[in-house]
Amino acid sequence: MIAATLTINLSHTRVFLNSSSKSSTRYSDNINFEEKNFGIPNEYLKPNEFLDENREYQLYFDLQQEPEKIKIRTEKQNSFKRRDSTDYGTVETNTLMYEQNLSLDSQKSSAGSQPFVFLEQAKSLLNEQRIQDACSTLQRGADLYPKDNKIAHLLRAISPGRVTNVKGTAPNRSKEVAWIRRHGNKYRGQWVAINGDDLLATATSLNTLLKKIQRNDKGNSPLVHYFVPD
Amino acid sequence: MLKLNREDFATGITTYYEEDPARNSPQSSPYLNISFPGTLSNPVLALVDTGSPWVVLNSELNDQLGLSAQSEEYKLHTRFGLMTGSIERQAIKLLAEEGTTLEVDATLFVCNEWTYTNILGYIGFLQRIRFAFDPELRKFYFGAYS
Repeated sequence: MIAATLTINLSHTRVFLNSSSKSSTRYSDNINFEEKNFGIPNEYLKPNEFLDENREYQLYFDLQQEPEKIKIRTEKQNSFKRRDSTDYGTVETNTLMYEQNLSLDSQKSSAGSQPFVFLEQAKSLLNEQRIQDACSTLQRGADLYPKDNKIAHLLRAISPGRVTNVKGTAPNRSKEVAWIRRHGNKYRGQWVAINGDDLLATATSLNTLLKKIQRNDKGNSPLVHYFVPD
Repeated sequence: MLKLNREDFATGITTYYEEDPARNSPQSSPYLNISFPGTLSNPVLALVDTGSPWVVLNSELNDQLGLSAQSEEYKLHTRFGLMTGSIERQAIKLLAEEGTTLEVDATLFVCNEWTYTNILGYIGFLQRIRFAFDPELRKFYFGAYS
């Protein structure tokens, strides 16, 4: 499987992929974008769906067979007037709006360009909170590029990790929370360290607060809290 | 301890606090005590928020944990607006008053601009454990699942 990226302007167009290799030429005018792993950041296209925003998209391809070249052809929808309940416009069919040959050799020689495809797809999916899809994308990337640190790092960060029991219990902090409720308004914008009813230290930064309570440490770990400014 | 089908559902119990202690807000939201293994052992309060996908910590806590956002590639919609940051892994201890404390490998949204309440989000934390609320006693039951 190979992957490549290409940036084109797809205003009011739909996209066709023509990938040709030594053994075959495949046309994709009925391509299902999601099944074929056509990803567009922030949105996924349904088959033959028109893009209706005038901005640049980046397309990602995963192909089962390495082609010699890829051609991108787009069709422009020239009217969006609604005629009846089923017809939403007219299409200039077979109008070649854009075509570009893509040298995959140059893509392959660009270090990191292919893992980048998986990372960009995963980033887009994560921003849509499609976590399982992002995991699947990164897993595919990790299978293809097992030495890629960025893919491994992000996959590890979002994968369910270990959950372990740890011996020991912690004291009830009801007194500290009651203190915070009573005195909170006096300490807006500050960090405080509280143990029971006692205020141990205050500081405008957590780093300074932790240094203060380390010096005054009397064994019990105080609750640390930040009062959000008004 | 809480049982399900005669087996332990939870291995730890802790009190949760319903009011926002930082803002004195009238809105009831559950806050828990958490801490971090290693560098920062002091407990802090964190809001249980199933509406957030990730754990989000005050940026100064991130700094102490060595987690300052290296990039701002990811977005998170919050009630304070759209935040950008990076996604990282960090172990978090859910502190038990009874039973055993739980250490969870959590997924954090690390945002340098987040100076607000710490948040325990759903996918990055809550989805990885069993949990139950007892509103009558204000107890939070939790445990690992197999």
